[in-house]
Amino acid sequence: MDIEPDMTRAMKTFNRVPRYGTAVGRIMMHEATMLNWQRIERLIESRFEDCITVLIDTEYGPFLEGATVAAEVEAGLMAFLKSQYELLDAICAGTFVPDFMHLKYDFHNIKVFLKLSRGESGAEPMLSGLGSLDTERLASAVEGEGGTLGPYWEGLIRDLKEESDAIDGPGAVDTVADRVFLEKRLAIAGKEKSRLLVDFSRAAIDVANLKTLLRGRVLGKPPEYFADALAAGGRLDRSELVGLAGDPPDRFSARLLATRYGGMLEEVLHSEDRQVRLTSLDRDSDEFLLEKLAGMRRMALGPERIVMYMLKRENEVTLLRVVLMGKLHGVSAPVIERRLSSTYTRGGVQV
Amino acid sequence: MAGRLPVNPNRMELLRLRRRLTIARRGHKLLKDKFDELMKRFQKAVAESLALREEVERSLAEAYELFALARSETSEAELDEALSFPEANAELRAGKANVVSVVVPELELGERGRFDSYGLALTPSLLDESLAMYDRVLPEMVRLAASERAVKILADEIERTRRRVNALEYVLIPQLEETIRFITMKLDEFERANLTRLMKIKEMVSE
Amino acid sequence: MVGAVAQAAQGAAQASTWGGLTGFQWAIFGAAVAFIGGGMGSAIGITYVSNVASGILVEDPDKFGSLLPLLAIPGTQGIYGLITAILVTIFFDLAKLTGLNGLLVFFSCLPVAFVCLVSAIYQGLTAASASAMVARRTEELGKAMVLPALVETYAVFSLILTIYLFTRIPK
Repeated sequence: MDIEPDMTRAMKTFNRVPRYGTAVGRIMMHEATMLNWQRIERLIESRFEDCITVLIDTEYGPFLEGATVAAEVEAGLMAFLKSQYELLDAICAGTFVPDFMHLKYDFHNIKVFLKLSRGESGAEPMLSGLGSLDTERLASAVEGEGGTLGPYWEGLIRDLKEESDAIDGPGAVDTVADRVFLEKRLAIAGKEKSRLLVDFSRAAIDVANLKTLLRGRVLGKPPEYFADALAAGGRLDRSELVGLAGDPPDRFSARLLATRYGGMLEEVLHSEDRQVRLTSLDRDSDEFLLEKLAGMRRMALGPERIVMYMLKRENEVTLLRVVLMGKLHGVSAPVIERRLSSTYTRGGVQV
Repeated sequence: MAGRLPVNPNRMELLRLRRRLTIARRGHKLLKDKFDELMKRFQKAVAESLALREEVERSLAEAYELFALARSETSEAELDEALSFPEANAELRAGKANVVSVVVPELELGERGRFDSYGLALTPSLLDESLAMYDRVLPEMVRLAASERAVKILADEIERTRRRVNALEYVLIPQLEETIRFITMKLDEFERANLTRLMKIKEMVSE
Repeated sequence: MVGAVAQAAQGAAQASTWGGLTGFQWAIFGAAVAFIGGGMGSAIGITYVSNVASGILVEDPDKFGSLLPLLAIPGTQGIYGLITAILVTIFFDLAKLTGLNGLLVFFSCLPVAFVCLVSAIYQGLTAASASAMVARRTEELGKAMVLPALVETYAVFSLILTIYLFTRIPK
């Protein structure tokens, strides 16, 4: 966010490589250590103990060594992700990339403090260790004491607070913050004039909006919920989506299928198999976003490659979590594989 | 064999015992009927509760598997944050019901809030389904709790009733019968002794 | 009319200056442009690769040997520029060069100047991308070299063309 927005496009092309070249070089070495599909397949086939043994030889080795229960696996994976974010902060200091990547976790922490400040009963939720903002300062900023986080964050927190206070119910903070997160991320990408990151952020907004719309209808959310929850900036017009929320089912699905995401939604809307309906939206939307990421390889030497690497690592961590937790909870191999099917792993993990 | 009661063998006692026997027989019959009825209810309750338990366990296992998948798709912190301030709360109403004069508990789940008080955009879709499943299972779990408790109470009651029936059937009634027979025999004996004595006296008088 | 134009052309061919510059000046101009193009391109191209390579070397210094060819390959365009510049002085008797022939030398230098400038920059980008293959497996160097080498062919073609054009210009 400290980046000069008025850099001309022509200068950018020439600046890109000197600015990001070294970081990209280091990322290339880390890309080489990602798990390949054969290894993932072996993990799916093995028992939990063997999974850990397989992973000992990888980047995950030091973090997962000796893990036997779910909590240790979770802690190990989080520590690994933390190490990746530390790498990112080290190699991309002074650029927008850390801001772009940390945003999600900063919003997570903001949500936690906002929820606590609303004073709704419940246990204190977990903070994320991957945010870029100091949590104590964040807490005091949410309390309304200014002057510690700078005008950008303080203004943002104030807006979030006002908007979520206007809505009833415990879901308000999540509803508003998730939407603002997606819009802010798009704004960062737009400020940087990175076409691929803008594309990715817009696609992420579309996917999130579709998920909200489909799930919200199943859960019977009221129409005003969609006006609060759907984010602007995607390729699908927000106001049209809000209008769609009240349509009868056949008209609703017909209009969704007519959008550019129709192919992705076909299974979700029409499949007879309940398992398919349940998992295909998440899986297909992940696959769709990963395909967007694959497009970033063309910009081989810019910040996009670094973002791609980070997102793929996050995806890999999620994938490992699905496999390892699945093993620990006795989920059968075919069920695990169905959730991870085809490009989710093949396209997502191989560099 | 049941011993006889320590009573004086006289006619008063006999009448009293006869009355007791009639009452015991009637009581036995009533208890026996109650026992049969309880048995019938019990068997039905057990079958119901077993079926319910099977169903609840199956639903829970399924919900658990879905939830395990859903939770593995996000970090623990994210899930924790998403579910930390639930709107849903449950209100449990407890009452009593009478089954063949046995008091069994009756549980009912009252007003509940919505469980979906988390953001839909960034959480896994499986979460909806697994939580909806838990939501559907909860009333059944409450029903199962009531039904299993009722089965336990019925079982205790049946045990008690059977002990009573058995006590009547194998102890009290035989004892009474034995005693009555004893008193009758004793009385007969007295009668005969009396007769003999009278005959003897008559003989002595006539000599 | 036609005769007049032909005569004027004949006159221009014999003239010692063209457009205010002598043949000698045109030829030197051409030599300088050839090297400016090649040299600048190579400098930029090598900067690109070395930026990425330095990142790789931070993670694994042992890769230096296998990255060296990729680092060096955008440098060839600078050499082509230099060769062209030197050939101008060797091929032609600069002092006696007419204005028009000097202009032709200048034009002949342009393929090297432009093609080498652009190809070196893009070769730098290609080599930087290809170094990802070396980063993954050192043995992939052979394959990784093919990609920038394809770009290289056009720099070579431009050099060949320039030299061929030199041979066609009357000394």
